[in-house]
Amino acid sequence: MLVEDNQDDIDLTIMALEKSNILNDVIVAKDGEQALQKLNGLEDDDPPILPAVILLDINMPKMNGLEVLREIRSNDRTRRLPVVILTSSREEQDIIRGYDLGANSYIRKPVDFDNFVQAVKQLGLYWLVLNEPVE
Amino acid sequence: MWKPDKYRITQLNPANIVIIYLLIGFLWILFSDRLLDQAIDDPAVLTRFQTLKGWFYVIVTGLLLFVLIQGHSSRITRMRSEFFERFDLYRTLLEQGSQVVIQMEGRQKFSYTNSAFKEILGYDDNELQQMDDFEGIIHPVDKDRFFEIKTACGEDQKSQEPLRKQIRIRHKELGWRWYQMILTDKRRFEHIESRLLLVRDIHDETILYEQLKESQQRFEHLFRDAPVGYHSFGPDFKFIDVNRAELELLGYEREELIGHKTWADVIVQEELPDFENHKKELMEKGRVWNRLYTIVRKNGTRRSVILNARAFFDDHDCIRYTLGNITDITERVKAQEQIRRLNESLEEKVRQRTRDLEKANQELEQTNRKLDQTNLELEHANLQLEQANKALETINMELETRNRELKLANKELESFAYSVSHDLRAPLRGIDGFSQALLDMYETKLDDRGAGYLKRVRLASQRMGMLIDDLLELSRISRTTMNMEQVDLAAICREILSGLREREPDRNVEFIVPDELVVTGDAGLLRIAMQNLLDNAWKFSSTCDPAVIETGIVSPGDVNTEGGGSTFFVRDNGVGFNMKYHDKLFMAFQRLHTHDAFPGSGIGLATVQRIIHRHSGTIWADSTENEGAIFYFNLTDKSV
Repeated sequence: MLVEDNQDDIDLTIMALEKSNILNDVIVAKDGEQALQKLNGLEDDDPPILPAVILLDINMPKMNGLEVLREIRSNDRTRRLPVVILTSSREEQDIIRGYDLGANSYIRKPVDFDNFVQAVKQLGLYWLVLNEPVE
Repeated sequence: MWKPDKYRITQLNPANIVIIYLLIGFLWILFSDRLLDQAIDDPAVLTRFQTLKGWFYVIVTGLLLFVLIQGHSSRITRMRSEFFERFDLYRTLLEQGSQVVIQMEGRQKFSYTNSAFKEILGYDDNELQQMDDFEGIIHPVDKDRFFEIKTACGEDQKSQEPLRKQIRIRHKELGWRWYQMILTDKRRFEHIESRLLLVRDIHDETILYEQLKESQQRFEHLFRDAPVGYHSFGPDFKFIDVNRAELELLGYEREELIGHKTWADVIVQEELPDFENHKKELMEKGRVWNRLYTIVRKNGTRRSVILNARAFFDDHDCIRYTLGNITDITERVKAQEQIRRLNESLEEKVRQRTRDLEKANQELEQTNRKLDQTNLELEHANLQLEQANKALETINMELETRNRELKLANKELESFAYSVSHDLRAPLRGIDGFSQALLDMYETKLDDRGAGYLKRVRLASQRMGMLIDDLLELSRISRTTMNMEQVDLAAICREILSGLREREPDRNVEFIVPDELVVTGDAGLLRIAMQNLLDNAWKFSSTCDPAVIETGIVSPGDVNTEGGGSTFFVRDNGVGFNMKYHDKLFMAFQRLHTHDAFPGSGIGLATVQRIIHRHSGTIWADSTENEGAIFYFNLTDKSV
């Protein structure tokens, strides 16, 4: 699942995933509220979902990424989900708070697309292939 | 008192009576017949007279015998009654007396004891009979003495003196008590040779005596060893006893004083009237208290003493002896004298000081008058000062407002930097990403020129990303809190240089780094500063072969040392720069070389300068174009 408000970043991330030959389904939420609704199955009639990994941006309208992370961690069903913060911010404050709230990883998006593709490829490989999630 | 002579029958005993009778008969026979023969010649008459004379003789001697015998027997009767009276008296004395009387037959047997036994030793007749001897109730310590008595009982010869021993015997109820045993001479009583053993209770007097002795010893000890002088004078006030302390005080030997000297001999002449007075008081009141005397010691030196004495009188109210003590108060008297002298000099000083003070007071008054004048002037000045202060307060308030505004501006700057980091980078990523997508997906539709432009778009956006990152770093450096510790700059330099060498292993670069460069500072910030300086050195010496990069500490005395602390340097032999532009060196985004020749953001040295400034240090540079550059910096004067 990708939680990201910037359409450019959404497209670039999906492009990077495709370039890295990672073919898993990508569920996109455009803000924090939508992300929680999708996770808990409150939007329309969709059932609640448990993605293999959540890629979470911090700076978003309405509910920001750190608030989303707190909600995920406070819910019994979702609190063991792997959450990777994927953001432009390199503020120490954000990194510390992210880890404090239980982020599994913190990745800063590089400007250079080639580097970005590399990062997304490693992320996908690690969380979707190597990592053993809770069933 | 028993007077045996009174009862000795000297005149009339049976022998005397017979002798008197025979004497009278012989004289009668001798003279009566001759008298008759001469007076009477007639034989018949003579015979008749002879018969009458015979009767006369018988009657007269009969009468004489009666008188004599009567006198004798009445004497005996009187003696007997007197004897029994006496016997009663002694018996009563024996039985009621306060001492035990025991008749001893040989060594063992008590043939008689009086009733005082029970009273004095507490044992009754039955117990006495079972006892038969004292041995069981004699104190173990006194047994030897008791055996002496026992042995003496068995001996035959008479001793002159009765044997006396003090022995403890266990009283039936009162326990061990002192008794005196007296063994008398051997005498014959009722046909038996025996001795009398007298036992007298002397417990109370013995104890009393012991106590008295102890008390006397105590007194003697006190007298002898007391630290004050003790003496005793006779009626003529001559020494009769004196203790050690007093002897030491007077300086005489005991023999020189006792019986020879009086108190008058050891005091100064001037005090003799005092002594007379003293004697009178002693006679009247029996004692004198706290008399002060000055004694003259044998060696002539004088000491002050206090004397207390008490007199003891005989029956005629004459002094029998006196007891007195003396205490040496010489030091006390000296101290008092000194205090008196000090007081006198103190008074003089006080008078002098008072005079001085009076003078000072006058001067002070003058000064005061002057001060009043000055005060007026000061008040005036104060008013002016207050006005100035008010003005200053206004300025201060303005300053505070400015400060608040500045803080606010800083905060705004921080949030600006934050949004730059996020919001500015996102579109850049878009530009770069989509340019790449174009290149990937539409490669065939683009000619080389188009592809080249796209590549330049990507390069530009990447460079802008780098600029943003560096800018953020710069602002971060200004905001982070410093953590001061001991940092080895040399070790940091070696790490950074080895990293650079790994990145471009083909370059021929010589490093010169000292073993140790310990400074006090924030390790993280100093690392960033050294990274930038060494990056620059590495970058700008890229055209040299071999390149030389050196770090170290400027030797003292060098023109480039500044301030009290050590000055460090980083030198390279690269392209250097024109000193004409050295003022632009540390400004952000100012570059002295083209990006193509030496790529860079132009923020590195600004960052370094800010880090050095945060360490209260300074940084400056020196260079000649194409001959290399040298950067000097120092930290606070706390650095080594």
